[in-house]
Amino acid sequence: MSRKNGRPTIGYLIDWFEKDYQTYLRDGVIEAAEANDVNLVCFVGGALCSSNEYETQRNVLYDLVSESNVDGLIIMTASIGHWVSTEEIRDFCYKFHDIPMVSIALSIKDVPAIMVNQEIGMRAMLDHLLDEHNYRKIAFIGGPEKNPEAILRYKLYREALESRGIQFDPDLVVEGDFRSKSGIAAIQTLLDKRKVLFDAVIALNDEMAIGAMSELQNRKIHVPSRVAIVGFDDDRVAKFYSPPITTVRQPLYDQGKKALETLLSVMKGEKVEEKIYLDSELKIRESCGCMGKGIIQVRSNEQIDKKESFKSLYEREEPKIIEQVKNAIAYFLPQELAFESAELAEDLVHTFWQALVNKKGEIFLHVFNAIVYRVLESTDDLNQWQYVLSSHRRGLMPCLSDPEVRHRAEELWHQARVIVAEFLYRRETLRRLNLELETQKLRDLQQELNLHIEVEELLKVVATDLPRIGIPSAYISLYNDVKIPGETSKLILAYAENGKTEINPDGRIFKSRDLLPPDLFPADRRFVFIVEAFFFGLNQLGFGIFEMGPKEGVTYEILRLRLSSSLRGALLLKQVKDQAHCLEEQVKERTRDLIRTNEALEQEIVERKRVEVALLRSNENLQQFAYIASHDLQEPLRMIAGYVGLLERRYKDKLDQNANEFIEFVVDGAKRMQRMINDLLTFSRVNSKPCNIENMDSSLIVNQAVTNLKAIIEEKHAKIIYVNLPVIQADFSQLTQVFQNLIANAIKFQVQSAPPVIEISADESDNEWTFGVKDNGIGIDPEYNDKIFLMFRRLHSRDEYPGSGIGLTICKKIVERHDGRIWVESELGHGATFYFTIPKKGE
Amino acid sequence: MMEDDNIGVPIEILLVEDNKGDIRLTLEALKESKIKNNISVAYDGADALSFLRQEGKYANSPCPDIVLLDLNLPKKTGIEVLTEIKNDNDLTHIPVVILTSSKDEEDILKTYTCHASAYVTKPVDFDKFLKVIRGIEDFWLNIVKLPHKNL
Repeated sequence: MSRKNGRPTIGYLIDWFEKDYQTYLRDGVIEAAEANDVNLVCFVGGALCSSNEYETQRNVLYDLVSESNVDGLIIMTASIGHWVSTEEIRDFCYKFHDIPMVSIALSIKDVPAIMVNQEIGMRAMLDHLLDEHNYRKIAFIGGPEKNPEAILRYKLYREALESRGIQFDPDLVVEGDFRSKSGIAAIQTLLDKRKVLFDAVIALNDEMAIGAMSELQNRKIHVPSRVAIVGFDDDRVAKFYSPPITTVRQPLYDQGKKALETLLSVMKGEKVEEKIYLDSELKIRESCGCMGKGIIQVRSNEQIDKKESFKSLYEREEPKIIEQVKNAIAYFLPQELAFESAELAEDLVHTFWQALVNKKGEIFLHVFNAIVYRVLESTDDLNQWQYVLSSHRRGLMPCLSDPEVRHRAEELWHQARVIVAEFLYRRETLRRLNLELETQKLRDLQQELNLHIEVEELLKVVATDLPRIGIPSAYISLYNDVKIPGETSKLILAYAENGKTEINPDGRIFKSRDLLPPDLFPADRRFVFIVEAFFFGLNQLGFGIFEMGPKEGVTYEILRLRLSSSLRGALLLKQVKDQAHCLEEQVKERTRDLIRTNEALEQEIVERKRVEVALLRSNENLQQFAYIASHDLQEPLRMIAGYVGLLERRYKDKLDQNANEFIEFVVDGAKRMQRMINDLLTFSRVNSKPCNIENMDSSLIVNQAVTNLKAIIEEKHAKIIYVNLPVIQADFSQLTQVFQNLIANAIKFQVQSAPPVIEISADESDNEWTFGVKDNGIGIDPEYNDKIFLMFRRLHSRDEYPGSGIGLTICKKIVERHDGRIWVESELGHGATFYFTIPKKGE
Repeated sequence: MMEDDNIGVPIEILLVEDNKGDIRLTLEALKESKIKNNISVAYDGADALSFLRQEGKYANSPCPDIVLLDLNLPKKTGIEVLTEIKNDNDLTHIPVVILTSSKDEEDILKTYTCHASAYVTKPVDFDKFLKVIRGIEDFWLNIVKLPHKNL
């Protein structure tokens, strides 16, 4: 339950707020809500599936309706479902199945409906046209195809014609859409396209009737003398149109009122009828060809009895006259004043008589004036005074045989009618002025709103100006996510009688279906809220809640329109500003990042340089160390080897076999150590020596390597094949070392079965040469492809294949010094190919 | 035959070397030489130069026919000694054989000067050392003829 301030809250779903039809209904609902002391929230959500996109945009409001904000629902099904089928409007209602509801004007299963007995009014209308005016060719401007009311009236039209034996002419039937334009179009169709003749037109609402009438008048076809026109609904304008329109009055006000009362009964759990019928009523005015009621009533048909004294005659007639006048007054007096009608009638009849007898018109006129004033407060149908006066005149005339008295009486009546006319005139003028004033205020508000493009400024204007046009409180909220308006919204403006409520600039988040943050609902008074959708074009923005102030529905529509466009503009501006700001921030942040990165980079560069210098120094030290170490190692080694050698030479004969073997081991160890030292020296030389890169024919390099290896090549009968080797950029002696080591390896790791065959090739690519040294040797298990390039790494025992295991390490070092790569491709038992690349250097 | 040629004329060799092990090894190797030789030893660079110039206690020392010069010497390095010998008109004719402890050292030396008559890397085992000494003998025989021809 969503009781606020201790009262139930009724939701009223209606398409529009400011149109005539809706206004009467709305007034009935609003006044009944007041009488029953319940809150009312009007969701002005447009018709479903309207052909106007701007109208369907309003439908979003129906998503906000929930049991969390209303305890009962009145759904104006007829107009909301105007464009859709009965099934569709039924499904729409069933969405709110958890909430007690009442439908207006459409019958929906399981939903109590306040219906109008259309048949009564329609039949009366048809009877009037066919029988009293004797029209025979009656055109019919219908409603939209699916509209059930339109279907019913069409059926009655056909039946009425049939019952009178009148031939139905389909050419006389035109479909309309309840707007005045379609009335105009209908006449054009009838006269221009179908070229049919007709003596009367039934339009299914007053708006279309007016459209049709204006089109006929434009064509100088007089209404009603040549063509009669009747409408439906009894719009406010119908009565004041020239000629006043004969129409069927829908009991709209009563329907609204009844809907609310019925809903309250449903909410209390009382049983109600599924369909509650109110009667429609024919209002005969002049567009059907009748004379105005006021004009007819003025006739008195008096039979003046000249014999009897007019005083005694009057005294006899007085109660009858008072009764007639009382009835006339009661006819138009609102219910709450009905009990006064007898008193008013007495006052009126008495004072009139006094004025006649005393020849003092003022006696009556003052009192009459006062009565009119009194009644003015509660009804706007002052026109009925003409009827009151006519009733009085009809009653009194027979008593007035004296021409002089009669003359005075006529004068008084005339003055009274002038008073009424003046009252009417003043009142209409006042109304118009008030309306103009309201409009002016609205215009001012619009101007103000137009002046401000910032959201904050805009809201300030709304907060100061809405109270001026009499709206006690207002709340503006934006959807957090326009794709799911029913989820959450943020309130950006709230003002009530006690002033603007402070909301933080980013808004206050609340569940959209609460309509407002719950603490903001008026706590101490009943309220009537009007919920309006804010959207612009097809962009949904949010919704506004206005507490009902002025009765003119157009106020809220204008507010909606203005605020929508202003908010849209302001939000766009804010968005642009935010984006600009965001961009600026991003740029700042990026700049900060860049500066930070830059600083870090600089720091890193400094650090790297430091490390580089340290590394260089340590490298130098290391090379120095390697050189000195290997160098200085030579000397003690030489001592060992030299003296053992001397020992062996001089004392071999004097030593036993064991001693000689020991000596051999010492010599062998010393020799190996020397080789390793020499290899280490060679390796350190690769780095310590400057790399002297020159253009050279690589076949010369290979020649040199082969020359250096001449002894072993001959010994092993190795065959070295190389042709067309390219000119490259390299250090001669270093690259010679590479080829020499690779060729020596290839020879060393030969198979027993065949002499070594070594092919040296070179492949060119865009930016480097790839040399291959291919042998037919024992091959290498691919598992060791990387390991073989590590220092002192051997795959075989020294007895199998002698060597220190540094040759490939030196090759790798040299190739890398040339910015190249070295690798091996091999398969155990199928030879190996060592590849290395030498980049082409630019000119 | 060779012995006959050289009877009574031993070669005067100056060994400049501070390492006693190397000195002894060289002496032992030369003992096995077919050529008669007298070996004097200078233990550092300065000593070597004094010997060559017959200064001080070396006033009566013989002028060497060949100098075997180690590079790593105290006081004056082998290179300094070599440079002074070659810049001294009285000494420049004396062949100098540089004893190096590595091939690498030899490479570096070559970039300094070409004045040395030969470079010999001290081998590790004694047999090779003997070969080196024999090489020096051959060298000596070639050289010895040259001064005579020039004279």
